[in-house]
Amino acid sequence: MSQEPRLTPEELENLVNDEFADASASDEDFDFPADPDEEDEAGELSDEETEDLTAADDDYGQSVTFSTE
Amino acid sequence: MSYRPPVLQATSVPSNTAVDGSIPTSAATATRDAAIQATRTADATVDANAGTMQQADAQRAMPRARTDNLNDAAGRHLTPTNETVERPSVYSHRTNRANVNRAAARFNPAQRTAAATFINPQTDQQRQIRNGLNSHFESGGSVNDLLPATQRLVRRLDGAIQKAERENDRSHVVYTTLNVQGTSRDDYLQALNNTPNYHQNLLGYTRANHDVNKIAGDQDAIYVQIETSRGMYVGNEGSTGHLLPRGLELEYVGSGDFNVDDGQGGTVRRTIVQMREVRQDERTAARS
Repeated sequence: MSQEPRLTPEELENLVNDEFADASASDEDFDFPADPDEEDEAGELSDEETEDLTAADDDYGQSVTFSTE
Repeated sequence: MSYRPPVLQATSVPSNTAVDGSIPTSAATATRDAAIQATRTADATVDANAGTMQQADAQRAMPRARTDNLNDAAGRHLTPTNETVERPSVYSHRTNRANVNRAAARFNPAQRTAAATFINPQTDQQRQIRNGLNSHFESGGSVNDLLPATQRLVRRLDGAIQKAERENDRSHVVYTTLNVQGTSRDDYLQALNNTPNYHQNLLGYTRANHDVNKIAGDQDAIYVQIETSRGMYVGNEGSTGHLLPRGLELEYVGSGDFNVDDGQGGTVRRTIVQMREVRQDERTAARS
């Protein structure tokens, strides 16, 4: 996995806000489910949505820090 | 927990003859390990003091495991030495896909957006968010260091993965690569073998695959086979991907050269490090 320069929390926040600008107006719908058994039922996904959720990802692995110095 | 995988005899790196009985770590590594342990302890305190699981999850630094329905008897175990690493079966693919589709149908809209964005980013901006978050966590950053909108995104993704975990009915054996920073590949393997039960923390979201043939690491990447109950299957037709949650703690089991089914009737030889998930109940037992 490639290492990219670390973004500041502010830069990340700006990216998230830009990406989800359309969704922010209804953000109250996005709260973490209060009770796993009482959460919003989103209904069945369409085939297209399911495909998005299960799409292949070619970017594997993780970098770990380890030093003996 | 009853299952303990066998300790494998290494064949490609020096055998497990500890020189000093511990991995030779730098002050920076020790500080990092202490910080991770402190975070896990703080999360346990949050769990003990929060009124509900929801309140605890809103404060925890690392997501809890939600593998409530795990049936150990149906689990998969690390590949014994001298056996060929098999490709995943069609049956396991169908089972895993059915499980995750059941979970995905129960995602709320925000979780659906977060999961789709992270698993399959469509834009440069989404890729920047994904890579930026992983860099943040891998370098020791906490979710609590992030600003509100980013925290919400992270917790939605954690929630989506937890829903998938609740549908897990068995352990998984998945593969990924580690690019070790700060030392050479050979020194890392040597150090692992000198340190029985070494724990490796994966602080970011880790993309893995049930098929070792789908893993293409850098030249110096270390191939890792992981036995775990955690994460979300993200396979589709022709893919057997698996997204592991952030904050996963692994224990080194062994390493060796394995024959790997190449999918074309032959095998290739690969050095694979084997690790298993350290579960919450094991941490609790170790503290008491």
